[in-house]
Amino acid sequence: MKATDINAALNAPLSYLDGNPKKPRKLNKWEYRNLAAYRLLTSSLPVGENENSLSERKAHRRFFIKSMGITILSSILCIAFGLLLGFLLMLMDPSHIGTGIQSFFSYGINNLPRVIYTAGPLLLCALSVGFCYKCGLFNIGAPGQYMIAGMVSIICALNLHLPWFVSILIAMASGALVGSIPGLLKAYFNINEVITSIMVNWIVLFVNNVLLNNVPGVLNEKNPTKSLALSTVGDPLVMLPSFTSDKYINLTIVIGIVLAVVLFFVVFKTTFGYRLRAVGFNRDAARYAGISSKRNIILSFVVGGLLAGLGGACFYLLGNAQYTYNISSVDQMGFDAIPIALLANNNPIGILFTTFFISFIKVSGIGLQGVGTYNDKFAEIMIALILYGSAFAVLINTVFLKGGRTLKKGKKEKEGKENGNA
Amino acid sequence: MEMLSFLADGAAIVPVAQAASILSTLIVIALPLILVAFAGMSAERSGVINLGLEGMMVLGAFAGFFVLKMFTPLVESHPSLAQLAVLLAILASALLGWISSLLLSFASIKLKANQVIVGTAINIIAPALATLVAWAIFGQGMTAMTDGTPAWVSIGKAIPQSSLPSDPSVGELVRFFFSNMFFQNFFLTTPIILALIVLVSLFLFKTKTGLRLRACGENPQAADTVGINVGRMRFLGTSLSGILSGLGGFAICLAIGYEATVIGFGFLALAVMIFGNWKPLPIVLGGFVFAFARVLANSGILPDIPGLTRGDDLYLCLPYLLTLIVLVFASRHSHAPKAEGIPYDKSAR
Repeated sequence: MKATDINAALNAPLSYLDGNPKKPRKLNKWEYRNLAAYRLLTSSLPVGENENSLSERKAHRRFFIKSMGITILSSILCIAFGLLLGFLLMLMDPSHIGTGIQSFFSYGINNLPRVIYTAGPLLLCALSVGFCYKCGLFNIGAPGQYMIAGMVSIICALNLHLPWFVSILIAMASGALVGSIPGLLKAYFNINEVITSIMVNWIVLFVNNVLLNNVPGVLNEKNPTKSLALSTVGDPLVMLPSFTSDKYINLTIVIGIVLAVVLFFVVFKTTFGYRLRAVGFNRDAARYAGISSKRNIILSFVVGGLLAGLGGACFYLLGNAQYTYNISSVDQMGFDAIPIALLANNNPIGILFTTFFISFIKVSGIGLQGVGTYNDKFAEIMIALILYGSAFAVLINTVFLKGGRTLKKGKKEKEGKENGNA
Repeated sequence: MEMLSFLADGAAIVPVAQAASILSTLIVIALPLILVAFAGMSAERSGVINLGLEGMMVLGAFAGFFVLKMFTPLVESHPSLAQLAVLLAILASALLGWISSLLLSFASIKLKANQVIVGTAINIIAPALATLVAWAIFGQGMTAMTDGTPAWVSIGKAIPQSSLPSDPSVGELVRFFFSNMFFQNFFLTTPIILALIVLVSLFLFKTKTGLRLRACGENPQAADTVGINVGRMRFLGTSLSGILSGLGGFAICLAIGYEATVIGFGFLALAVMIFGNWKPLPIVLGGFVFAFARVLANSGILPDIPGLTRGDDLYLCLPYLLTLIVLVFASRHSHAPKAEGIPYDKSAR
């Protein structure tokens, strides 16, 4: 798309007529933005043509319904693809396949609290990945932001005995700090954020190990590869409050759901979100329209860091969670969040629902343990396959939407030709 | 020999042995690291980002160690077949590396999917799959299959420290040093990797096909207009990448032991590739620098950071930090292939 396109898209709706030429009215703010976004996406720019006003508004509504339908459909297809291939893999031990699949589902259904427990931090990480993706940035640094915030929150609780909400705030700040590194490098030096995020992830891993071993009061003396569980401190205020007797249900999921709704409004209904998406669509075009791409790139990474950091803090501030010394791999939680964001097409509300699916698979995998030769690695593979499939989900979306566009264009061209002939 | 006369002292044995051991580990770590960085380079030069290096390495290592495990009984009865078994293991690792690269090439070339996501997926699938298959065949918990690297895999024998007299002559010490440096960790993979590093550089930078491949990473549209099949070139690049990283994974696991993981060497290789600016000679240099940092950090001879327990971990993050710094300073002169990561669309201009 050329830089002039966005300018036209942004300016065109000012001369908008609502189908009825006698009663011209200006669009309200939301309509204006949605229309501009729609025009950007479809690159259909009939500027200043009156006859397209009503039809365009209809097309615009159809477009959003269609895109949502396609997203949901392709997500379900991806999840089905992952599950199916996972079950096919279980044919390695054909005699147990029936009981295996049965115990897979029954474990997940019988352990819904655990599904919700896993879903909490997962949701926050996925919101982080999704938010950055809205600005066109791939936040593969979510694991690093998650880990540093986890470690900082542990230090706040065990060493400084701070109350949980203070720990969370400090931990979120550390997540944002780590997140801002790739953002700054991307904005000011135009370095690929994927590479820098990966490097930062590993740096965080080793820094965390040093912190684990050196901050007094953090290391578990009985098991020196792990941090001390928070429940040993004896002060309930350092831990995230749980409002039920079930040890798996805690505040995380509530925070996650509230934030998903808030983010939905931020991304789709505020100027900040609009600018963010404009930068995501086309950086140069956004700059041409007066939107600072640098500012938005850094901001989106900071918000991403805050979200992933919140996830890490919430997970490690529970009474029984322990940070484990590890030099060989980065935490899996942030990676599992990537397919969630992609499947939901980075829509916060979509992410909310998809998280429960992925969390369900993750937890159900434990049910496979002990059935025949199966183990919970199957769930890991299923999620990875879903991630593999979600690379195409993005594609399916664009193909369908673009397909609609070219079809319409073709029709118009045809009409134009006929008119010309007449 | 005159210069080395200060070595003719019993006290020199320990530092000499330590230096030899570090150099030996350096060679056995650095060569696979460079090879995998070359794997990343060959894919990116053709225009495909291969973030799945780590996963491909794991699968390659799995295939190699699977073959080693299968041949263990045969080799124990016929020791002369040992190196043949290792050769087969190398071929198997390259083969599985190539197969795993098909996941990437199919998705990125045929379906034009997001290569970064596909690479991440491969990284997650690989260790899980390797563990799963190993468990299914050899039983629960048998991730490692063999008990460490089998002794018969290594070629040659280093002079043991105990065989040295308490007051060795300079000649004896020098012989001891070189024998330990080369033969403490010497596998069939070492010469093969050396040859491959040279061959791949020659292929990419001195042949017609290599030039075409690189053209597809810089400007696929222009390459297409002169009749180069962009899809085929990218397939070639990713295939080469899979083969090299599979082999590299096997080679590195011979040194560090196989446990269905390559402990982040795939990502380190990625860092080496960027550090080396997608060029062979700087990559070789960078590979040695990064491997040296890693080996030193693990060797325990670096000075402890005052006031820290287990502060060695800070040394481990030096290569990554270095890469970040290099990226900042090189951002203006970065020679990253211009079209990397962008699926080739014939209709786009």
